[in-house]
Amino acid sequence: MHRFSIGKCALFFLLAVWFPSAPAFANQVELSLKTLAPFRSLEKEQALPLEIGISLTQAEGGHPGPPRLNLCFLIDTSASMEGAPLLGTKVALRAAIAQLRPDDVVCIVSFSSMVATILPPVLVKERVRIEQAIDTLTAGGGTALFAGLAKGAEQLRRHAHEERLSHLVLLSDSHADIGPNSPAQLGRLSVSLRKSGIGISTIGVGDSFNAELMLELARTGGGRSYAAATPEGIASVIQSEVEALFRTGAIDFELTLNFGDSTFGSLVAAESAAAASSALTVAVGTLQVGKAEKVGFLLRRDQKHFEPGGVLVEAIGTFRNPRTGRLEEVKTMFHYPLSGTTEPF
Amino acid sequence: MKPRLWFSFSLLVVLPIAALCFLGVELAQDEATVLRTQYRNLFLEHLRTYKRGIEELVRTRESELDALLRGMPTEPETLHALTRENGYIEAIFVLDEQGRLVYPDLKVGAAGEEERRFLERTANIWSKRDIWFRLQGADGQTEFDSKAAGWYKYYWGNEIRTLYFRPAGALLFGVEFNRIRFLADVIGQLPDQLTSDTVVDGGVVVLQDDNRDVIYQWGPATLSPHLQPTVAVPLLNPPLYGWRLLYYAPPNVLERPISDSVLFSVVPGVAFLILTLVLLAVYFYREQNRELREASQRVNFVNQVSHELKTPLTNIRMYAELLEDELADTDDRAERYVGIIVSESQRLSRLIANILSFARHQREQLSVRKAPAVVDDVVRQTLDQFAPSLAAAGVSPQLDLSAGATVRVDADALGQMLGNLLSNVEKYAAGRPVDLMTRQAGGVTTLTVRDHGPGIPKAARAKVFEPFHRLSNALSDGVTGT
Repeated sequence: MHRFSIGKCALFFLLAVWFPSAPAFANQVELSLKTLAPFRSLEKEQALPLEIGISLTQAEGGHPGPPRLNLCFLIDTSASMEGAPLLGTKVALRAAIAQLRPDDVVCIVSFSSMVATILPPVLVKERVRIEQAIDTLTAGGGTALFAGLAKGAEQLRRHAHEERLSHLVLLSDSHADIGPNSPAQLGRLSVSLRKSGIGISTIGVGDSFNAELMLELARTGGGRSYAAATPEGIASVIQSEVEALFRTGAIDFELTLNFGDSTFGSLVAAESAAAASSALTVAVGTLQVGKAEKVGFLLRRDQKHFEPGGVLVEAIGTFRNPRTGRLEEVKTMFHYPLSGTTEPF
Repeated sequence: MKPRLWFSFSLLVVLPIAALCFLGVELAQDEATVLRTQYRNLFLEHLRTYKRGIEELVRTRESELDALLRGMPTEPETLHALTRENGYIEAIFVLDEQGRLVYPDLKVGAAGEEERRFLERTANIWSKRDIWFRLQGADGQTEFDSKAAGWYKYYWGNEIRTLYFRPAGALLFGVEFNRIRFLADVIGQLPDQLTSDTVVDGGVVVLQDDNRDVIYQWGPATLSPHLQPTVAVPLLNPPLYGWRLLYYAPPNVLERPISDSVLFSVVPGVAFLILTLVLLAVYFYREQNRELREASQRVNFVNQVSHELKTPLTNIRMYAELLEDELADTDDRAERYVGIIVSESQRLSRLIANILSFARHQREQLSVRKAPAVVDDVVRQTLDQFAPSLAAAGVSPQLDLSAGATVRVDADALGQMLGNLLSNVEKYAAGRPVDLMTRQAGGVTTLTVRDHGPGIPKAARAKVFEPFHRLSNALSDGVTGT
């Protein structure tokens, strides 16, 4: 018994040495700051429009590959999907499955008047089972979108893992008519699911889907919203979504800007100067590899001069690593004078 | 078939069968009612199981919130992180003992847009200290009660929003609970169309909100808008105020067990009893037919015997009467003996005639053969035949005959009937006179025979015309009653 325990410990140690853990995050988040326009002197203060650039680049010395997916396709099978839209959906699902990797997890939930989990979460390598499930999709009945979201989220939650990116892809061509259906209500559900690590992307089919609802769900769910005008177009947008998921590098990126003494900032979109604060927090959302995000703001101050070398803005980005599920942080200090600015504060 | 037989058949077979069918249907209906009740209870129990699951989910969320808020620091960063990361918390406010807002801090403008909107829509709650009053209780005590956590409902637009409030130390936390997310969790926990259990049995289970709108449904059937729920279970506890779980059984589900029960329990029993009754009826019918046949054979035998007796008896009577004429005025003693032979042979002839008439009647061959005759002559001839026996019995006939006209009448039948009456007089009214009166008027001839015997009781008068009926069965009474 004693020898066995020692042997087990030795084996564990050897494995730990031989298989070092993957780097926590091999992609690099970079923050940059630049001026958008020349310095402006207002009545009582001075203002400079600035822009924080956020980019996610592939780090040197290793590529972690796309995050592993825990994906749920939520398919509207109401009566309006009968015929070409459903056929197009089946073709698109097969194309998406072919695009996924064998160790990704996928499930399919359909909703009409009722909800059916036609494919519980399985590894993509079980292609025959997935094909059979896709074949069972039939259209008819109403549109219980809320219940479909609830069931899809439940399936994702049951098989969620911190090292997998849980995401729900909703495909619908109509307006929800059973259960809560306002964009505000479903947006709140989407926000809540987002907090639980479940993102949502939406695909509207044809020209009768609820565009407002689909946009809101994607916005609050940290995903993307697509429109497929024809059934034949569903495959390309669903493949675009899978590619976007593969490129996901940071989730729920939140940017906090801390300003120096006697300095305030306000978002460009803010309605009044009253929103100016010594600190700003901006929810940026999901970052994708190779795609830069920008946040514009106005720097305001009532003093005429900065001390050279002083802190202008402290930018802190917090996000969730899709490969590990852990919260991570990136911090950059920007000092006066900014490169590229000539004229002084 | 004769009416009496029909009546007997109805009484013995049809009525019991009808009663059995009626009782069988009643039994089936009772059993169906019991089955319906059992099915309803079964469905009700399943709905209650779902309800218990939902209540357990509520308790889990409450426990999670309690654990989060217990000892929760009030630093804005911590509370902000809580609302940012917890899917069930949309916003938080914190009040101190005096009911002042501790978080979010509006004074320095630190609150975000979401927090501002939250404070605006809940201003009537936290600024007027509604929650405090609830916590203080009826006695107005200002001490915090650590167990006074609970739910608070308010409307925002048409939507119900819920706050979960909990005292912690000297502070009160008010958490806006994401009810929509909770509803999604509830739906996630319930079965779906493909995982629904067999008890649904073709029906539909529906989760209905406080506006009676369908939120979620599952089951293999399609919900008809006109269908009434079979059973319903309310979900009154927060945060699902006024929601209901309903079960809609398809119309044939509650009927199918009834027909099965009738088929497998009631129908065999009733059918067995009906078969038994029919067999009994057939048995008794055959038995009755056999007895009737045997009786008919006996009557035929007596008839044949009577026929065989009639011819020699006629010869005996004829030669006895010739001998009586020969002996007249020669030998009184021999004449008396011969008179007795004549009288007894006449009696025997009447008996045989009666038996033959009855036999013809039984064979439905009895007919009236009318021929011209004088009724008074028939009466006198009959009376002459009975003269010796009436005289021996001390009966003195009193004649009042006025039917001398010739009429068409069956003289033999009339004589036989009068003979029967006189025979009864001889036996039951001995020693008394008998009145015979005939009248003719308006084409109707009337013969009245009245004795002075004990008479016939009123209740028995209708039966004296039935064959073999006797008012008394005493052996000493007459023996030839018809």
